[in-house]
Amino acid sequence: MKKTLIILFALLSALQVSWGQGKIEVRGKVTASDNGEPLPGVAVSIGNNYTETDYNGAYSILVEPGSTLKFELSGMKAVGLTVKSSGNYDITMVPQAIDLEESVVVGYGTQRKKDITGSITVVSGEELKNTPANNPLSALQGKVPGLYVINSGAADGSPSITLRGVSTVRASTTPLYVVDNMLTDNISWLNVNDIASMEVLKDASSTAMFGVQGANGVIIITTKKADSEGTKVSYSGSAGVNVVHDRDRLQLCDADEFTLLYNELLKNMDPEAETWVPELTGKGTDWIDLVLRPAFYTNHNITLAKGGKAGSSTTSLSFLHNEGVVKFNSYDNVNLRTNNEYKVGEWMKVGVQANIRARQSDPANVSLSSAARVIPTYSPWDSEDYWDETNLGSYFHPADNIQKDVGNPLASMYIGRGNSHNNAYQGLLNGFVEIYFLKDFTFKAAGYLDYNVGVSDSYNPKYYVTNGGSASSQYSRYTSFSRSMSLSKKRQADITLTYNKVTDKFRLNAMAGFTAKEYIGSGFSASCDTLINGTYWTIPEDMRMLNLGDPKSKKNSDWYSSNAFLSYLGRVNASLLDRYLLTATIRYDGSSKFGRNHRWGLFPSLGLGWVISDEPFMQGLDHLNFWKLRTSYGFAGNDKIGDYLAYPTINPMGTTIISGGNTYYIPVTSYQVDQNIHWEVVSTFDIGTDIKMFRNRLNLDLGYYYKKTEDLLAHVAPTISVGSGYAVTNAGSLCNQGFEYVISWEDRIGEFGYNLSINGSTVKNRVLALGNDNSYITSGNYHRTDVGQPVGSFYGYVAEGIFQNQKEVDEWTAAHKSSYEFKPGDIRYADLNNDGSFNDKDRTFIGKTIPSFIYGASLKLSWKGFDLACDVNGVSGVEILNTKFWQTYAQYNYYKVQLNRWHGENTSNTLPILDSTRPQNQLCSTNAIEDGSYFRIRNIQLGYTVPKKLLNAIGMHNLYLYVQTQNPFTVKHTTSYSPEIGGGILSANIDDGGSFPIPSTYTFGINLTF
Amino acid sequence: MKKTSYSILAAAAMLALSSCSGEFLDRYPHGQWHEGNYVPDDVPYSILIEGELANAYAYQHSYDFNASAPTLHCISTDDADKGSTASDMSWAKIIDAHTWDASAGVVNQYYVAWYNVIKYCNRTISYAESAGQFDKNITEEEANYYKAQALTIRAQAYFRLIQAFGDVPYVDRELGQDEKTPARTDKNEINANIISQLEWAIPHLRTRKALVADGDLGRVSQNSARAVLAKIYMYEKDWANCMKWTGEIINSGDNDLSTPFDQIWTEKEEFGPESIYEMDLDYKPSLSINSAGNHQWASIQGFRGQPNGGWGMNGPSELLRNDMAGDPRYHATVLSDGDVREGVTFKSAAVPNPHYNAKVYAPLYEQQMYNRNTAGGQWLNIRLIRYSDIVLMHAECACELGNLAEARAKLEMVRARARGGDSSKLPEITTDVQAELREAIHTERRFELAMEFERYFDLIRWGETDKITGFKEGCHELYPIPQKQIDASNGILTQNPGY
Repeated sequence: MKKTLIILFALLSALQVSWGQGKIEVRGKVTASDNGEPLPGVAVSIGNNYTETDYNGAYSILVEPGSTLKFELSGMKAVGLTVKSSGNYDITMVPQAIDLEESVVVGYGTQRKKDITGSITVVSGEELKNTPANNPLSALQGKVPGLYVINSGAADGSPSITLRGVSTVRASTTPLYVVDNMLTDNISWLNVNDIASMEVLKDASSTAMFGVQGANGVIIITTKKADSEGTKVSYSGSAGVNVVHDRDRLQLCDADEFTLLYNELLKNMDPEAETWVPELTGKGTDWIDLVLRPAFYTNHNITLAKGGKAGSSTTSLSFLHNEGVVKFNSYDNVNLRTNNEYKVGEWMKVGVQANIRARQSDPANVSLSSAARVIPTYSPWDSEDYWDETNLGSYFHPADNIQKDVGNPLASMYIGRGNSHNNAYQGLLNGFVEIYFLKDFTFKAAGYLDYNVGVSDSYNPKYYVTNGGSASSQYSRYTSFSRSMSLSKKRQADITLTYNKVTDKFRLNAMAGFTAKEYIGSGFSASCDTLINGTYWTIPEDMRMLNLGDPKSKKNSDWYSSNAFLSYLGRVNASLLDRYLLTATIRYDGSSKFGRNHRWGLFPSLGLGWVISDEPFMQGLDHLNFWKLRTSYGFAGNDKIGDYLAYPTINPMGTTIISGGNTYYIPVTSYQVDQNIHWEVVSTFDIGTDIKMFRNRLNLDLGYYYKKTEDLLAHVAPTISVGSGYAVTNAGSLCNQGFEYVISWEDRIGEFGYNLSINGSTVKNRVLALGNDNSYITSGNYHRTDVGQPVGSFYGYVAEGIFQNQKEVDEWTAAHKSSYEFKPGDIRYADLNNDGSFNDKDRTFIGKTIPSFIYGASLKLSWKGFDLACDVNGVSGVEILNTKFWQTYAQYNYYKVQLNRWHGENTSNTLPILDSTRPQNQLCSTNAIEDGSYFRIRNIQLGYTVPKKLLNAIGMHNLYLYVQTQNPFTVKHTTSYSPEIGGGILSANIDDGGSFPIPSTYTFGINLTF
Repeated sequence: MKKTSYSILAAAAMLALSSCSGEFLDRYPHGQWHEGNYVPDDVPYSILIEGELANAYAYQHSYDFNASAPTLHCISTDDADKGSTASDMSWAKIIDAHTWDASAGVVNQYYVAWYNVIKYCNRTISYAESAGQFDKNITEEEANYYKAQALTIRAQAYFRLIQAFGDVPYVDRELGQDEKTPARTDKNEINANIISQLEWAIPHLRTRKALVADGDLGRVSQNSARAVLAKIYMYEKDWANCMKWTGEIINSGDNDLSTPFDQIWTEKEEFGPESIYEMDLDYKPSLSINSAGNHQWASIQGFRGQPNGGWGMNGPSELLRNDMAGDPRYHATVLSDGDVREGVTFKSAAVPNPHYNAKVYAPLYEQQMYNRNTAGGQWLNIRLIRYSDIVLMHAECACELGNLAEARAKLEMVRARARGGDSSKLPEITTDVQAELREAIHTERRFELAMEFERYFDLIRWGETDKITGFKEGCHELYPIPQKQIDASNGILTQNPGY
């Protein structure tokens, strides 16, 4: 695979080197546009020929006539200068932050930043590169106000994302991704180093352009294109290590501590109980330590870019190897991307892109929750006396009697090691043609293909975890093997016609277009057991074939899914006198997911802007450089639900009956189907302002939004006597509202540059209506979604401390009826409705799973060749339910915190007595609620750009070295590995000890360009 | 079917009219009949009705039922313990301790279990009633047979709901999602409905023997319907009507007491002469047979230890074991730590009461058949109503009506079988005193039907609730309407007294 890719890579890239003679001298002075001050340290280069401006901003260089000089300085926009003859060329550089002429990709076109009326946050590829992440989205954490990212610590994990709160309860919250105009719902395939910019569209005037799919917001990604003339070869590579620091681990009891607490539990339940004697004393086995590891990470990219007037070509090859901190979890990815555009005369442009990818992941075979639950008083390994070569389970000590239902986690980890293979291959191909005609018109047609193939197999040996006959519930009675394959195809076609007119008085851009998209996926899986025959305990890797399974055990299944989407769209962007801005969009969308008569919908929006600072009456204000007011209102939809929900169906083999020793398959009709189901409609009102002050050094971006979802797709269960199994229907509404801000300050003092930016956003989420009767949705045991409350809130009792003695219990019991028998050491609950009995009706909303405030900040410092960047992020106003301490079906290990449990009067007022026969201490209550707020140092990077003077000698253009750490430090209030728990929309933030830890990463990296 | 089939047909017609407009957006599921591919002739209507009916049967042994029925019928008495470790199954502990309230999840499970059955019965009935419109090949007799089965199952479900909850919403058709929850219906009104439905159903049902002869196992028989009728009258203390139906069962010749007591719960005796109302579970991996619904009936109550039969719920209490000591039925009722069966010594896990319900134990030879390799008893049928229950009901009615000779004769039938040929055990009851005979019949029911479905509600209907520790008069006669259902109904459902 790799070899093939390299050959392809070589073919796709043509290197071109040009030589010249007869040099001329060019000199001049470089100054800043905003304050006219000279700029020292500006890199002035052409190919390998390089110099820097001195303290007075002056430079001098020998070049060939007709070549283009490049002026570069961190924080300033690069300038190109084509010189025909020797002489004095003074250059003015514009700070990057104030470049309002710069265009922003808005979907089906671009728009000047100055003209935007919506709320769009741009994150440049520069900010993302060097992020040791397998998914570009995790790098967005803390950089975009309103964007809530929950990262996953698994090697191949994808972060979950919500924009501006949760606007749905049943459909997905995933935003729409648009990669170089291709619509997709997953961008894990994209290499971070290929990204030129990511634009996060949040308000309706921006997202309405994506109609029925835009309700969760849109993230537009533009990949890199060669940006300058000439040929560039660059390499970037990094290697590092992922670790879970001791301070971030679950703090569990050692063997002696566990023995102490367990014997106390036994005595609490039965004063006559015999003392339990552990196998191991002292520290015992630290299972977490055996399951976690420092994991290796490496990433390499080679990019070949060639630019010029006639077009550009960029090809990159990348390789990523990322190990998970949980043993044997790993992920490999090889990605080849090429991006080519050529102009044919002045009237046509043609582009071709391809992205080919192969990846492999190995799962972690051990469940982290069982590693946290297993008791520390036995050794993972059996004594050699019991070892038996045929039985892999014989090497492992079976679980202790007191927790036979929690297996030995090392046994599952090693027995499963290397037995599962997950491979996936992806090819994305697209092409476009743009034709310019009648001066102001552009016609564009584009086609996109995305093919995915997934191949997996999994093998399980026969084993029995035992030490010579002792009972164990950890075994497999036979060998088994399964294979699965999947294939998916996505196709998209876009046609747009654009009219663009720019005069001194106005700018007008009008666009009309058409989009069609379809998805078809299918796959199958097959399994068998008892390979070869029942006497084999393990099967060599090359004998793991379905053919060899017991014929009676063979099973297979397959699946098929398809959806389609059609859209007609139009947009007008207008700007009058550069001051009065208007963006109007309209989109008419049809989606296959809804009933025949409810497929088509209209999604309009309107955005208005006013650049007040350009008004004549505002002139003369020295400190105010730019001031824009913007507002927008519009509609977008959400169709991210399952396929085919609107069709009544008959499953020809829906149920079975067994008669006369035979199984008969019987058709079953679908239960109630809502044939009128249609999309959720999200209307967003947005108002904001952009201000630049003090010579553009201070930037303010402030906004408020109110987002309302109507026709909420939900499943509101009626009472059982009405029925069960009802389908999803449009039943309810909810809203999100909040403030967002970005404040940044950027300046230079001589050669010292600095930039501080902070951002934050608030979310207030409320359900407005649900179902016919405004009833609520209960999810699992702990969550409730109810009118007037945030989606998926914790619902439970209010704890008021611990009963310290019998007298307190007696007093309370005298005043309250209850189905529980309370004793000293139990949690005391509030009788919220004061009806003299403690029951269900005393529950209330005790926590939110949607944070009310998310924030981030970044600081960048540069001095000569050195730069230091630091990013932080955090959330607050969110709760987590800790169920780790609740021991249900078996005895678990205790957490160190539990050493502070109640064990006599006034020993604790928060942690109840150890007694697993008292379910009253395992109720969802404020006692188990933890503050999910956290503050994290997300990233610190120290880099050094080697002076170009030194590089010229070896023909190198740029060399940058850096050390970096990600997530080195987190301030949290939870007892979990990570405060980022996540989960379903309606049932998030349950910490059962099994969520993946988010590792700290330490990386060294190098970027070089020839 | 009515709704689905109508809507599929209607949509298919519309599709034909509108021809190919919007074809690109027509994306249909594969592997399902739908408006785009539905050819009514391809799917015989009878088999669609059979599908709904199969679900009605399967939902009778849902997990909800398997977990809640032993809890509400047995663990609530003094004869059975929650079982397992002290901390396990705390949801059953509150029933054992008689401290439950309306929020008890297990009470809701029981309520849900029967309404799920009712839902599929309602669909079967409405499809059967409209069968003639769709399929000329279905005879009225066939349609009536489907309907009769569904009516019997539904009547059984309502009988259980009334037994546990008193008045409940009577739903006899498929409701739409947008319809309000019906309010609780007077139980006399429900009983009147289901009595006439059962009476209609009996002639349309088949006998057990006919079903067995055809190998058509798992369906309700004529005597199933009669048994439900008898139970309804018994709970109304309408002894004459109850006795009329138990008499018909006894006289039908379809059942007898020929099965030895310790063989009743074996696989080979499934749908045997003892079977009145039996739920069919099956698990034969080597034949790829795995019945629909939940298999955990036996494993929830099964022996906790080695060999590992399950969780160990619903264990015989010390009181029952002591009172039953010496009864020849003891070993078919109680499986204890240290017992040896078929050469295997049973070693219980460390639990407070290492005694288990032997009526869910599957013998070793059954475990080894059909490549099963498990002690979990997934193939063990649920014997909801047994013939000896009917005979004892008959005896009880006769006794209450003063026909003591008939009562003694029927009581002796059951005791004779229990004796198993050992004449030193269980001497014949010969008393002429009605109260003594009543007492004897009550005791017989306790031992014969121990750990089954009768004890808790028997004690309530006899007014012997003093035998239930923790019983609260004026409250525990009925379980509470689950708070969850009251909340979801927005208060349309009302609560029982005392909760």
